[in-house]
Amino acid sequence: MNFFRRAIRYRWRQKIRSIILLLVFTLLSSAALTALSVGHATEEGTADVKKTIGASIRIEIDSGNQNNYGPGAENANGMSYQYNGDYITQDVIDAISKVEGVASYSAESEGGYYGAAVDFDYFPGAFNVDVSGHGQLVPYTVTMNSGLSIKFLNGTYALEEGRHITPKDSFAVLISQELAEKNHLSVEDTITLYSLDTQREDVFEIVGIYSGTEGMAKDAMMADGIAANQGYIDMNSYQRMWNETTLELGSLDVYVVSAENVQDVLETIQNLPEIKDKTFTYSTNTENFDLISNPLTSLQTLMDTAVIVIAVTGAAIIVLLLVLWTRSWKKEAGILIAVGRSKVEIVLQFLTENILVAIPAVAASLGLTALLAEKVGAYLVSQTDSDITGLNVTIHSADIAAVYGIGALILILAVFLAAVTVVRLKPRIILSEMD
Amino acid sequence: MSILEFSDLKYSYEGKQNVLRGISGKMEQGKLYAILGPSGCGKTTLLSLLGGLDSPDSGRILFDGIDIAASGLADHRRNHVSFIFQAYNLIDYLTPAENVSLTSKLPPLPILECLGLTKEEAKRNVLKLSGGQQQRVAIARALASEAPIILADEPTGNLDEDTARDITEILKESAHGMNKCVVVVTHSNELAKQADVVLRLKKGKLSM
Repeated sequence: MNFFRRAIRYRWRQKIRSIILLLVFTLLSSAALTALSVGHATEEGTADVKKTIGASIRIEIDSGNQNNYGPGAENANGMSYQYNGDYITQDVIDAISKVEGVASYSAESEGGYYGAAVDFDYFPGAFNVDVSGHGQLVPYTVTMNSGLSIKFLNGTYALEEGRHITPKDSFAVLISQELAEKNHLSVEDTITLYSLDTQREDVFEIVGIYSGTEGMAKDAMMADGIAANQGYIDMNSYQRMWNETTLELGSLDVYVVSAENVQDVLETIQNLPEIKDKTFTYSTNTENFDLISNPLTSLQTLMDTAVIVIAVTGAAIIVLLLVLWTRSWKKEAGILIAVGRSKVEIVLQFLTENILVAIPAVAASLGLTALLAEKVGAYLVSQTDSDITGLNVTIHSADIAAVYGIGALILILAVFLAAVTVVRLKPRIILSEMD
Repeated sequence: MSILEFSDLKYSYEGKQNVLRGISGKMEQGKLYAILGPSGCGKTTLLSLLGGLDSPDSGRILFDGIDIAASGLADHRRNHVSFIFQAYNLIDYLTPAENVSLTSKLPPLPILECLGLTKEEAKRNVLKLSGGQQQRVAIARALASEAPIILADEPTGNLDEDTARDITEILKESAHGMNKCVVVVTHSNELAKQADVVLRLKKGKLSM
């Protein structure tokens, strides 16, 4: 009977030991794989935050400088002054977008547009005052890039269908899932909004529907205070509504790849020919990045520590178990040596016995991790101060290779340590110790 | 012609000097040898040396004229000798049949049946067998190996009188009927009476 057959029989007939070892292997590798996966998810989350929020540079027209205004003109409301300085135009945006270190850019005006629902209904407030004659006016965020809007970045809202608004969109709108369901609307449908400011009706195509407003209060005084009613529209349509032929923005947020080089990027932008002599002001902001990334960085450190603790504890537990079971193994080793089996074959049998448990443990731990990692990640993130509501936890093949590779090394080392205490002895000593 | 020959064997171990003080002897196939002596005199040590479980401090052991140290102790254990222990030393998660298969590729059942075990008993866990049955399994394992030498350390030490008598008969038959060289370390005078040659070990010296 060869060592492989003996190993199979040992595992099958020593069921309690096999089950204990299977549980230990499964739980340890699941814990390690979960910690690694959550660690990587936080790392990726931090990288995403860094990439999208990172540090940002706000470029604004210098509206506070008196020199940029012409002579005042009197009207019914008093004196009015015309801003004669530069605006942020498409040429400026294009030049900035090409600067190395710039990840993205966006301009946004929260509540920059108020629209009444012409061909659909909002959730009503307690008092529904119609000042427009077309229904209640509800605020929309005018955005160049809704994916960079803070509520999407911090996970308050999540895009469920369709896509985000991009700088190329025109008359595009994002609405909440609740509002879509209330009005049986879906992506590619259109809605008509009336603006009291422009006194015109405009038709918008729904390009995306997002979740996140569920559970938010619906008992506001007016419809404009209900989050589910509010939405996002694109920047180009806003320009057109005001009959502006060219894009002229008052401010632009430029997101840089890394917070470390924000000053270098700012310097480069300020020296661009399209910008150099323009009447703009500049400021940098790393607050959002710090707010979101610091808790994630702490979580990542926690996960890295957890992986090390699990690896060390796991190795200790496995060695302890194997050494505890060495007593009966010693007897078997003595018998096998007495019948002429080599020490190498005996150690191979011992190793095979453990590999036979490790194989189903790999499958079990993969399943367990797939089942739990997402939930563990969400729970851990919820315990931090971060505004982020969840992590995209996926099990990477590199993590699988690392956990099972290191696990295999620990197992081989543990088997070797347990075996060496026996096989280094002379056969006669092993047999006399058995007696 | 002797199959096993040992000359001037000396052995000491930590805590006990001169366990064997240069003993010599020859053993032949077809004979049952009994080694007698007081406890701690080195009987089991001698058996271990003859079986290649340990090496002497000095002296030589020849199997069929060849030094076992030169051919390799593991090879000697695998091909030339088989052991029977007082505590049976069966692998407890294997059946009797599987224990016998450790030393032989031949079907284990016939030999187990020859030694008085039924087919059902041969497939049971060894721990569910009586002491006598376990020792029969150990003997079956030794006989199945086809090694010409059987080394038995107190094979009847844990058995009742009737079973001990049966086991002695089996050992005797192994020597005379199967042409094995059977070396038994024992305290049992009954067993020694059945031996063809009785050797006495006292104070590290061997005498007839």
